[in-house]
Amino acid sequence: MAMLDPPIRLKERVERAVALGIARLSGRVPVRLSGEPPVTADGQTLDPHVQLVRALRRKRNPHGLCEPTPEIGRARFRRESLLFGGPRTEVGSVGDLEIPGPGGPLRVRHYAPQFASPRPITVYLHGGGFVIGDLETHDAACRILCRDADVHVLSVDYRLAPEHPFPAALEDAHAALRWARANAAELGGDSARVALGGDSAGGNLTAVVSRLTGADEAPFAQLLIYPATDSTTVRPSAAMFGEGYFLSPADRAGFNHHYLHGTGVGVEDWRVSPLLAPDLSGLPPALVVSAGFDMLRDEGEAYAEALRAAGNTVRTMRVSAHGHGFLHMTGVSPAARRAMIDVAREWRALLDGIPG
Amino acid sequence: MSDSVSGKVVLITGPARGIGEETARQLAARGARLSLVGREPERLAALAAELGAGHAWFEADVTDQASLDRAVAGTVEALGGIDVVIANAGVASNGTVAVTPVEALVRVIEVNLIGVVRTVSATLPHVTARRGYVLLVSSAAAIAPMPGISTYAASKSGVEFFGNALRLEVAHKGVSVGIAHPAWIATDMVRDTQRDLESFNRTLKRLPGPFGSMTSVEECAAAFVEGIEKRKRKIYVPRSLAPYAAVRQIFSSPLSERVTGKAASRTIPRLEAEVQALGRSFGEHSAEVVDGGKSVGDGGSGSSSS
Repeated sequence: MAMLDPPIRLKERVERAVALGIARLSGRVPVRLSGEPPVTADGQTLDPHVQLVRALRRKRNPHGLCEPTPEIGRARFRRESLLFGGPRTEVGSVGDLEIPGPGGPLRVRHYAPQFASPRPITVYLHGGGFVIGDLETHDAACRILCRDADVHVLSVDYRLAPEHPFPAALEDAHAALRWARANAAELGGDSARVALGGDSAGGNLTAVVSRLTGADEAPFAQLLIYPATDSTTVRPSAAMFGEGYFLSPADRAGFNHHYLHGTGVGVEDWRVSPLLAPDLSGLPPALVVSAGFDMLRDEGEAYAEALRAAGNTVRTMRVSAHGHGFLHMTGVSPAARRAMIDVAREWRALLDGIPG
Repeated sequence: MSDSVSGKVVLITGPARGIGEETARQLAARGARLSLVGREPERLAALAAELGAGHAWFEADVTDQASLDRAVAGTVEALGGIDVVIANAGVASNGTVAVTPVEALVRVIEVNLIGVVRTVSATLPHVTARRGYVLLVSSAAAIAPMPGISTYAASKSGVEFFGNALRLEVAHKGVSVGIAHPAWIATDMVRDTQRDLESFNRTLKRLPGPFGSMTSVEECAAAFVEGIEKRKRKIYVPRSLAPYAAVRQIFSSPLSERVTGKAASRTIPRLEAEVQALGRSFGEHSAEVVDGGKSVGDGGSGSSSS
């Protein structure tokens, strides 16, 4: 093993131990350690472990998510996800492979469930504002999705902005969906049940791809976890939860800037803000998950309502005690892990309920 | 010899969820007339409505003899008598003796063992009058002890021996007694544990054969229905449990303890830490939590569908 800079290694080990320790705190201890009274807003109470982590993070990290540069933001996101993701959830098998993509070979990670018979496949698009995030940042969540929804998960390392702005991510997502359907049997999955899902920006991509594909190519279902659906309007949750809850309006503006700069496409384009699409009928059945303390909460729930009003099958789920990014907190907040397990189970229930 | 349940009156405790709920459904589908006895009255009412006309439900707690007696009297009045009793109501607590409040440990035995005794006592005269069948739900836990299920295993072992003695007492009166040993069945009871305790999931992956696999609640109910119709003395779910039951002494032998001991020394501290952090002794969907007015403890999540 190469000689790593000793102070950094020690710091990481200490941080990881602290994260594990936080998870084991119970009752009112995490809130008391945070130094503030229990955080409540809009009839909801914030998860005590998240409250403590939030208080600790505020002291240490003044930067935005893609600041000072996207590269540094990516490394920071990777590091924090590993720190807060917790012990690995075991699944049947995990393997990386390369598939053909419009911008060159596309790396995907295949999570296979334990038992043999063909399970549904979920092509998964990680979040990170189209700028940060990768296969590692969402590894913990994909494992839980695989095990607790009992589905194959194909996590896609799609091209990121600003190096690859709109519509590179959309093209990669679409290509992965097509490839998954064509190669379902080799993966051990069911080619008739290839669904698409993602969180945050990944949820945005999922919603858009679900509408871009023709009827014969459409995903079997769509999983939207706290998706970004409308960058044109500031809703109440955005005003209430914009500061100190992992994602801020400044972050969002930065992400959209990197995603769209120089492309001639604006945030009012439905391919960036799918809630603005003129016709949302005839779309795949959807599970829309929102988080109580998330600035994106209201636009996600509005999108669910719009899908429902257009006659689509929609299940909704609000994880009221958590904020944006709860699926990265599964190692430090037991309730976040339970919430992610619930998401997986709801997803499986939706998939099972679709006829044919 | 197979006796169809069509037209027979079946009283079942704990039918609001899980094995009880699915068994009630499958029996009703074969023409049995159900008396649903348990907690969570809204769920009982909804199930009775779903099953259609000809069934009854009664709110009762198997640890409260008066409520049981009322339910039995009501059953006889509404449905004429009792042919089959399924003593199925049961709870499971999280954690080891060291980190579980004693009242939770004791409660498991109250419901799972004493509750079964009370149920049988209340219904036996009626089942005897019809030379019927008594099915007691024990568990694979009575075959192989494991850390984290001490009083659950004790209670289910108790049910088995109670049943074995009972069988001898009522055989000459034409009453048959069956004892069921389900292993892991996909119900709220097990799902709640999988959701609450990651250490449980890790352990499950390592257990051999029927102890490490999950059976659907539909399959379990089907095995119960078959057992009732054939008046079986033993029902194993999955069937592959039967040979392990035959050699069960091995699981309490020094050799077996040495094999499991190493893994236990690593997993038990983790399990105890998780349970302490969880801050509750029963699963989120357990009647102990839903019905008992205790707070669930975490922020929870709500879901709805259209």
